[in-house]
Amino acid sequence: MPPAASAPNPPCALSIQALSFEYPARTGTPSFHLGIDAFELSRASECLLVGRSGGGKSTFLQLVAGLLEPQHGSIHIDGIDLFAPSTNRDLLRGAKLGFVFQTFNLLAGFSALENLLVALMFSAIPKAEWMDRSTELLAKLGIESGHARVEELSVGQQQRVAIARALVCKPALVLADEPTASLDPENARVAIALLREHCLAEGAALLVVSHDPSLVPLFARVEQLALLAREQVTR
Amino acid sequence: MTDFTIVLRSLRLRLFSTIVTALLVATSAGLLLSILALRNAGKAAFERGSGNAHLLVSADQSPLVAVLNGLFYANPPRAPLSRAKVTELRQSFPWDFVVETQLGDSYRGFPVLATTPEFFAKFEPTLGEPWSLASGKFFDENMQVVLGAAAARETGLRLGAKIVLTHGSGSSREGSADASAHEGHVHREYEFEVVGILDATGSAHDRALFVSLESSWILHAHDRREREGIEGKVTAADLLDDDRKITGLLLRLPTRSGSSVSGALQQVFDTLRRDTSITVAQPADQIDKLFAIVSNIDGIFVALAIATLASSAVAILLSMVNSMAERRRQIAILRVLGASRARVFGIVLTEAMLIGLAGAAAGILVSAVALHLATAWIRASLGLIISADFDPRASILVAAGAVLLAALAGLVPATLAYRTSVSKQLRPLG
Repeated sequence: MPPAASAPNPPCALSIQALSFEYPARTGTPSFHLGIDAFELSRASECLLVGRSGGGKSTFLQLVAGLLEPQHGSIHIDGIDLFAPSTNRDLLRGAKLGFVFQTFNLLAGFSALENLLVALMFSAIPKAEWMDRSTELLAKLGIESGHARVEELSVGQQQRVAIARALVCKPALVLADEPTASLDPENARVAIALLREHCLAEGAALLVVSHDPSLVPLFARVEQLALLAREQVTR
Repeated sequence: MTDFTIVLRSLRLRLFSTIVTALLVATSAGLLLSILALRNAGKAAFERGSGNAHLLVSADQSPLVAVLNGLFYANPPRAPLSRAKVTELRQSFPWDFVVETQLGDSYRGFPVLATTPEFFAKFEPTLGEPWSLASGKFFDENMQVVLGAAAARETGLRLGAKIVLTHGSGSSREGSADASAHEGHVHREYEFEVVGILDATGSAHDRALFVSLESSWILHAHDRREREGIEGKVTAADLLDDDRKITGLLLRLPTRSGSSVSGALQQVFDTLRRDTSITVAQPADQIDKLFAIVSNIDGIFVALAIATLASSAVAILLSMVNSMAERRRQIAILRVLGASRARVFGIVLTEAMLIGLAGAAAGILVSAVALHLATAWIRASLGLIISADFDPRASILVAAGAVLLAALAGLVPATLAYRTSVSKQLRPLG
């Protein structure tokens, strides 16, 4: 009996190889260099990236989001080279990445449902599925009043809308930037639990970036950016 | 959900600023449209008064003065035409009509035109619109007077009222005890009875009074006879050839049925112009020349209105640039969600264009309503028919201009949106 062909490994949600990025020195500001040899995060997995303030966490996130371009190295999102000339980074960001911010950054003046629909506008998901997917996800996250404007929602509800928006486009990777910084410890735990639960359910990898040490016990994989990166500040 | 929904939501978020800016555009677009409409309407109103006469002959200094005096009652002509010249002109060509007119008398400042019954039968004050009576009849005897619509309204005269005329452009009124207080000589000896009131024509004729030529000749023959020391009332039988003066001739050449243009007009005009003892004018031509003269001033008004429209575009620019501080975060969110720089540029530019379009639409509406009310008021108070109608072509051009200017104004905030730094706006991501 011939051996069964092994199924190809699914691509990593995030794969970083030999990344090197540098902010040039400017008057009054030292140059900053961030180098990462390798970092991988597979789908439906999670990682907490911790580091001190000013340690390059945000630079790292901007690189992963395709908002900054490294001098060397590569970043692949769901197997797609983010910085390949053929890659449309805006489209890739809309289709493959979800974002959760400390202050939620929901679109004011829009309803909860519309916040999700706006995200879907920039995704690859067919328009016919937008409404069902949005209402279903909002319902899963306990938002019944999808037509209420986000300003009218409680902080907890706004956070859940933000999580729903991050997941609505079926991203490969959800980037959470200090998602608990404005919450008390109890609500922080609830928010992280919610985020982890729904990312797992949607099959998305979760990369949480935080300087909050209280989150460390909640994650199986914790990376110290200082150890991960070859960070240098030159004065 | 579309880009347009985002545009509308964004405008709604800045509703007060959006409305104020759109109102500025509306005001300037409406002003421009109103000036354009009134400019055309003013010319049309003048053209209305020129009527169906092809030529006007008088002894005035120039053709333009002849038209202004003969058809718009600006002043009484300075010199009469001789009877012999009138007879010669009557016989010179096969005219459709020759209407004799004489200006010189007035009633309370309103000009009195002495003419023949043909004036009402053949001359049309507005091409294709013959005279019609609001009440009474046209004069058919001497010492009868027919009032133009505005003259009747402003003097308050009714049918059967008796009036006396003044020689010159001064004023006189029935029963006035102190006629000498008024400018000009009052023809007290002859009372005229109001026998008809005309419908409004929307022309200068509405402010005139009309009497028969023979009545006017009798008044002036009476004055002559007084100077000669002859007493008693004058009758038509007492008139001399020298009394039968006129100051103008309205002439029309035969035309083909359904046409108001005569192929022989230019040739006849050129022939008559060789006679240096008279002034010959083509009324329509002179009105065109008059408007060519005033068009420079007119152009200044239009330029000012365009400048106002341009300044409203600056208002769009300022309003949108001011709002960019709060907009940048929204733009950064859109960018993080996957919107390209070009797409946010397009969204902001569309916002500016939409403000321009909404303002232009409101301006067209305001202009249409304002013109309707203004023309109704002008007609009611001044008796002038100003047809300042909605002009779709001008409206489309002004709307397109407003949108284009708004788009130009929108380039600055759109560029700011294009260059918005996501990292700076969405800290701590940045």
